[in-house]
Amino acid sequence: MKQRTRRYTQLITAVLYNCNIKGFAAGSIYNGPAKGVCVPGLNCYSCPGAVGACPLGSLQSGLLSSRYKVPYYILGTLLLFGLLLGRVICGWFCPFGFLQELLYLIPLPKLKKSKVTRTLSFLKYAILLVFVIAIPLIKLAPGFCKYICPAGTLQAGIPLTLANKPLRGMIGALFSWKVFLLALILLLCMCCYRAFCRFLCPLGALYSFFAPAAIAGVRVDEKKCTGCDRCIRHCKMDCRKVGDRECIHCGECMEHCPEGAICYKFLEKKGQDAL
Amino acid sequence: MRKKAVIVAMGLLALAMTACGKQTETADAGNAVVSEEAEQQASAAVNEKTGQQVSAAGSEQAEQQASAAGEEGQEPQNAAAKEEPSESAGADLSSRSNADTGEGEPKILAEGDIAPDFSVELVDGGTFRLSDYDDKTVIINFWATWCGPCVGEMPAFEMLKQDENDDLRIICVNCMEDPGTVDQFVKENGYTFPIGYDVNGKVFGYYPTQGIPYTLVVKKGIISKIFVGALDAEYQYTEYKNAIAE
Amino acid sequence: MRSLNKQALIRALVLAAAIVFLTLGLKDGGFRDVKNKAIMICYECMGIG
Repeated sequence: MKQRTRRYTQLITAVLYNCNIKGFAAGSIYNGPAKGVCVPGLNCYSCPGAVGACPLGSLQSGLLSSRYKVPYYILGTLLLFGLLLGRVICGWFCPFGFLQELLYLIPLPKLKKSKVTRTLSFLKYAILLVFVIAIPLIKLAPGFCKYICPAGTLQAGIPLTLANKPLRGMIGALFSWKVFLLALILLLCMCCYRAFCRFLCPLGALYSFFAPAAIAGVRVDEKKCTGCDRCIRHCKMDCRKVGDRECIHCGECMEHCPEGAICYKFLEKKGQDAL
Repeated sequence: MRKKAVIVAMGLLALAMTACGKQTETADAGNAVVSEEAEQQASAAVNEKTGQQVSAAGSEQAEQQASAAGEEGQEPQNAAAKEEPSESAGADLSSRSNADTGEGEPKILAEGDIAPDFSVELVDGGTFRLSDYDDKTVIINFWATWCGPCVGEMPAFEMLKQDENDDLRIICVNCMEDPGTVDQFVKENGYTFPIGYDVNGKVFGYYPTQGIPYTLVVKKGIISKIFVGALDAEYQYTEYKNAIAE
Repeated sequence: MRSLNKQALIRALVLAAAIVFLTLGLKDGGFRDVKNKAIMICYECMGIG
């Protein structure tokens, strides 16, 4: 019930990031000035509807050109997003995260979180290191975009090839791999809550470093907390504590706390009813 | 309270969509560019079973493409671009657009069009003006340091230059990067063919494309072949050589 | 209390870094660079070429 505000926000965010409807029909991408602004969540900038730039794509591009120019702009943008919102972005402002939550609603057998999933959550840091940082720096290619990113395949690869009949003639092995990976990830997300976010997303990995310092997010009032851990047991992510690096600040734990010790920062007085 | 928020959000959304819709000229140009380039590539794919090349120009093909474009319901601007009559060698270039002076309307270029005139400052000093070489074959390439395929195909231009074909001129126009970046790139790679800056995108504006590398073969001022994208340098070298020889 | 001060310090530092980087980035054309990359179809991102 109380997730309604978050759901609305996720929906509006997803539509806003991709409001260039014209592009879908014409099979082309937006080239206005807003494309110089990064959206906080994962949203491919080659999506026909995209009106902003992808932070991950821009980061990889900046890194592969870093020998000529230090990419201050994208680094500053990420620092700002991380500091102000951290993984609140994951829970509220990421279209791909929203998609995964919707996919999880499909009635299929569900994989519960466990020590295995907790261990798997480290994989995204490896992906960040290898595909987002190392490959652009060394091989001068956007590693994550090129070989993995399912958002790119879903938002750009598929709509653009559908709308541009001749582009289909250019499809090769890489496209097939990306479509296969996309299908796998989407299927996995139907059975495992936010599987991409938890195990694969390098952007989430990046933002997770800001968890101790991020200004927005959920918080536990230590004075009220009795340590019953009901919050962690009900949490669908691989958190050890509320608000740690795995927390996407969705706020579901708030409903389960018997002491009412969890709230969004800056909203203690007003109470959660405001949301 | 919630209703108000939803209404405000809807309003913002509507505003955003309108703003996108207002990007008519460039967006339309973009639309047509992608479809057109892709079409050219597709016919090449059919002919040569390759990934990303454009097949031979000719008024017949241009017409076929134009009717195909019509079937796909493209913008009228696109159709107009394609229905321009193909010009034969030594044709009248008086209606030529000019990127320097801003003469003429920028449009998506197709084979058979007059190549818009421009001049760019070269990395090793000096200027390259397209109209100076209206009696020769010119390869115009648009590239950027951050574009993998662009960088990958550059040895092809070096090879073309080493061929010392007196009738050929090469100009690789960098897409809107800092001159410092371009200089450093050239220094590191030691390329000797002409590379020019286009920091403000003035030239790029007259050669609109949604994908780079974007290479045009211009014979006596008329575009005879367009390539978008590139495979490896060896492959591109062969493709470009064939295009020049035709 | 100490951890609160430490957190405030980290936040201040990160904010300062963010502002400095953004300013530097805007000055040296970083916005334009991001825009230029974003308005070209990233064939690599699509899985084509």
